[in-house]
Amino acid sequence: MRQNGREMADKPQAGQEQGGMVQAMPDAEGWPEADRWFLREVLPLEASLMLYLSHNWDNKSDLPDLRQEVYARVCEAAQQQLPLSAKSFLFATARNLLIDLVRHKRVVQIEAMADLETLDIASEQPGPEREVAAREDLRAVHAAIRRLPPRCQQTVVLRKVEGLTLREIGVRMNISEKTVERHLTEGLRVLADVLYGESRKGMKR
Amino acid sequence: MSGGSEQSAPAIRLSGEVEERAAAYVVARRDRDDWSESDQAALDAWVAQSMLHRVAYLRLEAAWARADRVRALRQARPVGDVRGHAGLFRRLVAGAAIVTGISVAIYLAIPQAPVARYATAIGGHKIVKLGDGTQIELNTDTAIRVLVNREQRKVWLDRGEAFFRVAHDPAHPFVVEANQRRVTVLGTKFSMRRDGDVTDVALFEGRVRFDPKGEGARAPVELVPGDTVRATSQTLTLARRSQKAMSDSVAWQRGVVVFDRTPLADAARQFNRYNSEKIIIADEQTGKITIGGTFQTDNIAGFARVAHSVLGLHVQIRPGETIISQ
Repeated sequence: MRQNGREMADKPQAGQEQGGMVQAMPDAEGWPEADRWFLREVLPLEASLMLYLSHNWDNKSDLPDLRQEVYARVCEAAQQQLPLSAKSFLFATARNLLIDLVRHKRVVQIEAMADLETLDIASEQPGPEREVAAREDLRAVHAAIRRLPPRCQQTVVLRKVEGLTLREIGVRMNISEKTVERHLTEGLRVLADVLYGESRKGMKR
Repeated sequence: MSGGSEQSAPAIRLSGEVEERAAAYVVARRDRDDWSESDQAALDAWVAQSMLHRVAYLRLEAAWARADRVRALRQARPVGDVRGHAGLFRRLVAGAAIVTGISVAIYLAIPQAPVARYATAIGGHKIVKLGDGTQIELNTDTAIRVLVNREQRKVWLDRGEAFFRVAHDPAHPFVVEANQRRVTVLGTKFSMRRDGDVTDVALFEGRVRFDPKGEGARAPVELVPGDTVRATSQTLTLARRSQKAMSDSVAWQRGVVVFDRTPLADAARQFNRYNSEKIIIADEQTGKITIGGTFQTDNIAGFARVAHSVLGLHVQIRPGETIISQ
């Protein structure tokens, strides 16, 4: 009941008491808790995770695959039980994955693994209820869109800013609806990488 | 996952194709007009098939939702103008006005539905159903005015708090005003509260545009589900809240208040909205102690019992007020 550290907030508390008192009722609606935990706690750490992976893995083209594998493992575990600290669990999982891979394939030196503390993750980790100036987030999204390839950027702007339908965009740009959809799909993938995967300082992917 | 040491290495699973597929699903579901139940079933099955699918989908879905922020850049036109018939209608009316003033005069002469008023007393709770299918659920001590007719759908929140389930009608945006702040929606679920000059909006489903209006003429803010906005005469803050915090904030629909590490001072304030008998927290120090749990909105006695027996606080009951101190 008193402040008991963040761990308590993550898990519904079992203790129930008669007399009008029920602690932390489960959510009836929306995504499963593990999914929401992933979106809330893990995804905001992506920039740090990518930094960590790229410091410790030579083949840069493997990075997206590594990232997804780490996410899958982390969520697999979260479905059983939510980890107490998303940050340490995420990086422990990443480290174990890299060690596994190295053991099997012997492709990189593992001792080069950076110390987690040097990554200064904490400074980038937003709280679960962070207050963002709407304008700041808008600016980030806007900047990300400007980095898209021209055609792709145009479809995203027409869709997201102007709110046109796929058909209307097709007519406007003189391309098929299917092509519009392909541009949007590509745009989405790049946006996700920029919005989540890049450090605030504006590092290149 | 860690086993299999005699097998030659489980290489990294390739995620490129998975991501491609996930992105296509996100775009198809959110941007195509013809997304069907069987499409949804196919997506559900795909997501359930592998954790790699699931995380790829979650991540991209979140990114696409976040990209919706840029809708705020579209401020020159009212919501619904692009696809809706409202703009077309306006142009038609304008055109008619040029040809002959008569049709416009006739149009204007159609009697408007009168403004209806609904209110609840302290502790009250009422559901109002409007002609267009919209439902408005009024919390304690709330007053609204409603104007819904063929041309417009408008509600003024004069006092208190309400939860809106707005019937979808792109041609007629639904507008709610409080403190000269305006929320414009096409079809969605959200709550709005007015307390003095503070206006709170929390979006549960769909999309709304929040118009700060008034001084400074700030740009409107586009909300996506999970967003809450608090506007005072000076400031405008936007916060993302967890699903649990969102559902707790409208627990009044079930006749309860939910506290989760809530300072006693806040908890008392919440109770006091629902009851004419008031809870008074004697001093600041006591007000900072936190409490958790779910209570009927009128269960002051239960709350006092918990304060006494669980938190070990001193409770004094007088006519019309319950005083809690250390």
